[in-house]
Amino acid sequence: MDSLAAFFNMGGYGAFVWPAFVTSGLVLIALLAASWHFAKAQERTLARLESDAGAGAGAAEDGHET
Amino acid sequence: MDAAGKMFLKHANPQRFLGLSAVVLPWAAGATVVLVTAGVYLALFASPPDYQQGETVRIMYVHVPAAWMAMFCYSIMAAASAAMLTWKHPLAAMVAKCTAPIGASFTFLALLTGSLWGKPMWDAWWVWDARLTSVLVLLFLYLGYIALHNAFDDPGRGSRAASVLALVGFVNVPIIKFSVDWWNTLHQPSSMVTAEGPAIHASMLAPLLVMAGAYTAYYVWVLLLRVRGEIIAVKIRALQMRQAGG
Repeated sequence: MDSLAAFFNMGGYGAFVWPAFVTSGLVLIALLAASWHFAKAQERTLARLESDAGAGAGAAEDGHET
Repeated sequence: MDAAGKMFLKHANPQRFLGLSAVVLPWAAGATVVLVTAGVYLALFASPPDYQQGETVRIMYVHVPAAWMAMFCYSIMAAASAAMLTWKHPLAAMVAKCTAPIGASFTFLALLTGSLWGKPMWDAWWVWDARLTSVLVLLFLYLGYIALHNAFDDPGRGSRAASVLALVGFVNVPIIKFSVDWWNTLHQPSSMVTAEGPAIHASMLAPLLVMAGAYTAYYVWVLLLRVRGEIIAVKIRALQMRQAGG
């Protein structure tokens, strides 16, 4: 338990060491999450448009045949 | 054209990039996770405190890689901007645009972690010396680039204006690098690039290099995600215009 407290204390510099690591992690995770969401949202939109276009083209061809 | 040039052009079109990046993405993601885990373990548990700086030296393992990546990303952004202006290459334009927010994040983190390191060691959160000021200028160059990109209704014009800024601002990168040699500064000079080789003990060099590898893999991962998103966004716009037109 003492060693754990010593670890978090960081020789008295815990107030500087931990914010440096935690904010680095948070900023990089936030940027990764935003980039991930952007890429996935574009992929979903494209898939929807392409299936709509496919369905639309199919309907138009049916229209010609009848 | 040589074989490498042909190879580059073959893969440097957006459609091929989608295929290639789908293969590279999981590897970049896996490398990031493994290297971050190993790097944080080495940085916090398996490396000794510094004989002068005590435990604060651990801040180095998130500060120095962020600062390296801040300059590396800017160099990529400037090179891609040059390629974009010279050859109007769409993929180069996307790489430059997508690198900007990543580089800006690394620069912000370099400044923030540097400040957290400066307070206990120099007794100052901030000093207006050459190294710190030139890195602050780098952050403003990134933010200016992003703002210029979004300042025009015509995305092509925004891209060209931002590319010119990226190229002009590149002069700041060597200034950052050599600022600790050219001016008197509180900031310590490089321990890595010296005439006698790295002036840093292996027990501290290992976590530093592993974290640098982790940050590089992270950059590749996030860049690929963003460029994929941009390529697909262009396809979406083309599809929507076709549907609206006919």
